[in-house]
Amino acid sequence: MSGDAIRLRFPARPEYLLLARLAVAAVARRMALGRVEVGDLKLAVTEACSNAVRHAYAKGPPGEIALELLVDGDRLELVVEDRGAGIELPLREASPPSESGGMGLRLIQAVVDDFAIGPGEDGTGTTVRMTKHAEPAGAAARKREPEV
Amino acid sequence: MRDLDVTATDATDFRVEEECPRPGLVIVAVHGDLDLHSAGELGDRLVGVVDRGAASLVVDLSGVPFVDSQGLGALLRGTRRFGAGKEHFRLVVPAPEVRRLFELTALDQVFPLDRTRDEALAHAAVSDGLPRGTTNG
Repeated sequence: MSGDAIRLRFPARPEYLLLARLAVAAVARRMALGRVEVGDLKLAVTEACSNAVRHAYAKGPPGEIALELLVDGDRLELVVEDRGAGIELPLREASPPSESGGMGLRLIQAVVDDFAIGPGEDGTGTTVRMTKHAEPAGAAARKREPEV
Repeated sequence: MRDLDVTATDATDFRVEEECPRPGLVIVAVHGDLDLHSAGELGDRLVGVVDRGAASLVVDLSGVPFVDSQGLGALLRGTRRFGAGKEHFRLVVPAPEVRRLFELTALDQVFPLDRTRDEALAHAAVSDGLPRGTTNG
């Protein structure tokens, strides 16, 4: 499925986060990623979309999230875009885990190979780019799930 | 146009069930994905269980295929409601991809994790000063 692009737009509301996960899981499984790696990508896309749901349109009219999945060989790029309020850089996400969240971006960084966040191409909204390189499922499983 | 309810299927339906196998012990079994959409409901249920006087709480995530940072926040709400008694809070987390989230955030150092409900109940019995095996009735 090299060179494939999947694009999805949905309302920036919590009940649609599942839709983003379903799309990512379907593509990741077709790339023969292991169970934990698929879980990592579902986590990354959920955190990025959840951030948009909570912050992008909080002070204005409701808006949409655009999700793009780009497959290039063993490389999967996930792009999450909103047209909302934008983010303040540099990020201040070093807070410890709390009831109110605040660890989403750190989790994304922990589970993908490359991660970038910034304003959209026209300077508005927020764009999150995440890249994951597929490993053979067996090797990934051995790395991530050591014998107890 | 009517809103699409993408959670209205058997596979993704979120629900929380409570059991009380013996006085003071409450098991909260969670089913479905635990994210921004569902975390508030779980957090409220856990706080309610503690406020109603549960001495020990086992949260069984065996039916949960996915947890994000909002889900972790809901679990933290529950354990913090216990205050000094938080050693009586146990989590059943069998799925490796869900356990990984606790490891990534170092919350496996905060939440006592068990792989099965029986394991959690045995630990809860010890915490409550009951002899091992006193997990039913």
